[in-house]
Formats: sequence, C-alpha cells, structure tokens
Amino acid sequence: MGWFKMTTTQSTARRAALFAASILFVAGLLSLLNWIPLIIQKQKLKSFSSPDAAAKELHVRKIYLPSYLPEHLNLAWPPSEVYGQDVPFSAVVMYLSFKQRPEIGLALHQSDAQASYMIEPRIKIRPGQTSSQISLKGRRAMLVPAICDDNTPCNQLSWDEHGTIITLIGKFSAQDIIKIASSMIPDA
Amino acid sequence: MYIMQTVLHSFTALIIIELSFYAWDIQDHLSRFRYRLMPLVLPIFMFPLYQILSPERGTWHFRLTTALFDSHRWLELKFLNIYPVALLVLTVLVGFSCVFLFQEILPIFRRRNSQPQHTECPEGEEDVRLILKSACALLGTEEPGVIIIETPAPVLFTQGYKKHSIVISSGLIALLDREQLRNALIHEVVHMKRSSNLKTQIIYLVRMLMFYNPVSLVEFRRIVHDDEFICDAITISMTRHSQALISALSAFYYHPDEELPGKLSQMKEQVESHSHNLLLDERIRNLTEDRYRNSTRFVLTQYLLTLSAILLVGYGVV
Repeated sequence: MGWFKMTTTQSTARRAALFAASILFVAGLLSLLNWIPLIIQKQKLKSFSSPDAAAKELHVRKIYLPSYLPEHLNLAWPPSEVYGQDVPFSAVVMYLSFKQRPEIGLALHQSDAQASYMIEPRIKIRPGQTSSQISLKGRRAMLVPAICDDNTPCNQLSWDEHGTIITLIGKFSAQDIIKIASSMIPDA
Repeated sequence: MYIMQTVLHSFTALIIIELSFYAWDIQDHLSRFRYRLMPLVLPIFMFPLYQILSPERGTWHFRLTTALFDSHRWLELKFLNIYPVALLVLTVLVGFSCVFLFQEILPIFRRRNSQPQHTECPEGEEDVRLILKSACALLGTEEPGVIIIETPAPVLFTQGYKKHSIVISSGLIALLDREQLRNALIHEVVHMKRSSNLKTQIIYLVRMLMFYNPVSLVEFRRIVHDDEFICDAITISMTRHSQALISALSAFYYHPDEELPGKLSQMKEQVESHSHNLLLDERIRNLTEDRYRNSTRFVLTQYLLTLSAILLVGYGVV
C-alpha cells in the first residue's frame, strides 16, 4: 500500500513537472515567434540600452538630448527607457525616472514632423488651463500646463526642430521644463 | 483587434489543452469534452476581461515590453507595399466565415424549406418501446416518444430538448437484431440523459459567436465527437456487449454514389460521408480495442491548473 502511494505521488509530481515544462515551452515558442518579425524588419519600434545604442542603429538624423537637468528635480541620467524606430516614421522616445523611485519624471519624444500619428507618451496628461505659445531660442514652442494621471501637476512643451517634432512632458514646473528644453537646442 | 485576439487566444488555449492531455495523460472523453470547452468559450471573454483588469494592455509599451506575443509585429510586416501576413490572416478568416455560412447556416434554411416527408409506420414500435422502457428504467430517465419513419435508410436520432422523442427508421429496425437494437437505443437514451441536444445547441450558439474562428469550428466538431464517445462508453458499461454496439454502428456507414465525379454537390457529399465514416471508424476502434475500460477520472486540480495557464499565457498574447 505504501509502495503504491509512493508511486502515485511520484507519478503526479512527474506529470505536474511535465505540465509546467509544456507551459514554458508554449511561452518560449510565443516569445520566439514574437522575435522573428524584429529580425525580418529591424527598423520597427524596439527598445535600446542607451541613447548611443539607438543613435548607432537608427537612421535618425540627430537624437536631441538635454545637456542640463535641474539638480532639485532628482532626475536620473541616463534615461531608464529608450525606444526608437525608422519605420513607419523616424522616432526616438526616452523616459527619465526620479533618482529615489522608479516613477517616470520626464518623457522625451522626438518624431518626424511628417508622421501620420504620434507615439502615445507613457505619461498621460489631462490638459488643464489654456496652452500658451512661447519663444524657445527663437523657435515657436507650445506650452501646455496639465494634470498627470496620478493627479500631479505637469507640463508639456513641444516645438518643431528642423522637421523633427520634439515633445517634453515633465512632472514639474513650466520654468524647469523650459530650462531642460533650452539645453536640448544647440546654440546657433 | 477583438477578432484577432479571440483567434490567437483560441489557438494558444488549443495548444495548451492538447499538451495538458499529454502531460496529465487524459484519455477519457468526458474529461476531454470539458477541456475542449475552454478554447471555445474562454476567448470570448478573455479580451474584455484583460482590458478591464489592465487597460494599458493595448498600448505600444505593453506590446513591446510585457507581451509574450504581439500580433501587430506580424500583421504590420510590409513587403513590396503589401502586408502579406495581414492579407493571409484576412483570407483565412473570410474563408472560415464562408465555410460557416455555406456549410452550416444555409443548410439549416434549406432543410427547413424542404423537410423530407416520411410516412410514420407503427410496425416494430412495440419492440422499440419495450427496449426503451427497460433502458429508461435502468438510467432513471423519462420514457421518450417514438417516431418510426418508413424508409430503408438507417436512421436513428433523438430530438427535443426537454421532452425527447427517438426517431428511428423501419429500415434500421429490420437491419438490426434485438441486441444490436437495444445497444443503439440505449446509446440514444444516454444522449437524452446527458441532455446532449441542449448542450450541443448551447455550445453551437457559442461557436456561432466566433464564426470566423478556425479553432471554434474544429473544437465544436471534436466536442460533438467526444459526446458520441461518452455515450458509447456509458452504453457498453450498461450492456456489457460491445460487439452488438459495433454491429449496430456498422449499419450507419454511408457510401454515396461515386458516379458523376467533379460535381461540386457530389464532392461535398463525399467529403461529408468520408468524415462521417471516419467518426464511425474511430468509435468502432475504441470499442474493439476496449479503450473505455481504463478511463481515467476527471481531476479538478488539473483542470484548474490548465485554465490558469490558458488565462496567464493569454494575457501576454495581444
């Protein structure tokens, strides 16, 4: 009787292990199938380890990076997430997290001005007051004060930089986002 | 998006249940019947359920960083200004929708408009009633009505959802001996007891909701087949006379006229009769090889584990 019980337990454990292996096999197969299109068409949206890695692989003219981040904002550099694509239009998306917490504090989007749609930013905003047009090193930029989805005040700033639309969304004041944006534009 | 995801969820569920059959060594058809309901029913609810639980599931970020499989990557593949995968998927879905329309919906209307007129024939009714009386007493079910139709073709089926009647042809009564007839009728009473007609109707309605889905088509047919295997297993557990059931089943082989090749309607009839005969072959093989003797029992833990695996993997398939 004891032998029988032992055999049944062993058999159940073996079957459970086989079942777990089967599920892992399905997950592995799906991941493989998910990876193949990226090999076939390399230029589609994908993630990069750093802005440099994105610049090397993508055919984007220039990746606009901020040269100044106000210390008091506690934003971590380099970006925690970098994504980019050449197809269907050229675009680079970067997210900077706060130093002490994994929450995203700044979103940097740049995409071709001819793009038929925009890559939806991960920081969701609800436009609050009316937007205003400001001058940013001689460029016309649109500043939108807003409320983020976690009910914190944030600001969105966007402008056209020689055929590339650059959009910044930051969970901080308008002054700070203007300073960061200014640092992205090379001096004439 | 909903259509694509239901199809993908059905496919993953189908693969997972087939692997579960192997891993858990599930042989008996009652368990298989229950498992097969999963790829048919779950995909209808999976997409809305996931969207309610995590609305960000549709975003590019989820697709890129969390999803196990993102269908957009394949559908958006572009060669020479066309989307070959998207076109192929569209063709398959339209093709299966046409199969549903022409093979399942139109024949219903055609049959309604041209119901074959069989004359009822009381001959042999007493025998049938006697066998049914003892079978119903054995299974503890209400005695059904009996309709005997005058035709030489072997006909036997149960009709009705709550109040059943068994329709049998005079040709079949003449063809089968008493023991064979008893086995065939008990098989029908088991269908009544299991409410097979009602279950099949409900499952068919579910299948109709995903008329475009190839997995639904295949799984619905396999569920119907499983129901036949279950009824066969119960029948021989009662009669202990598998040979009589085998002989009764053999009477139902159908070979349409093979002349006039090339006619579309004839080809269709031949395909249908071939699949009908294949099912009979499998039922007879199961009985001959005594496969119903060592049926494993249904284990709820295994079922729930399989269900959880389908839901978990499905979450990652967008």
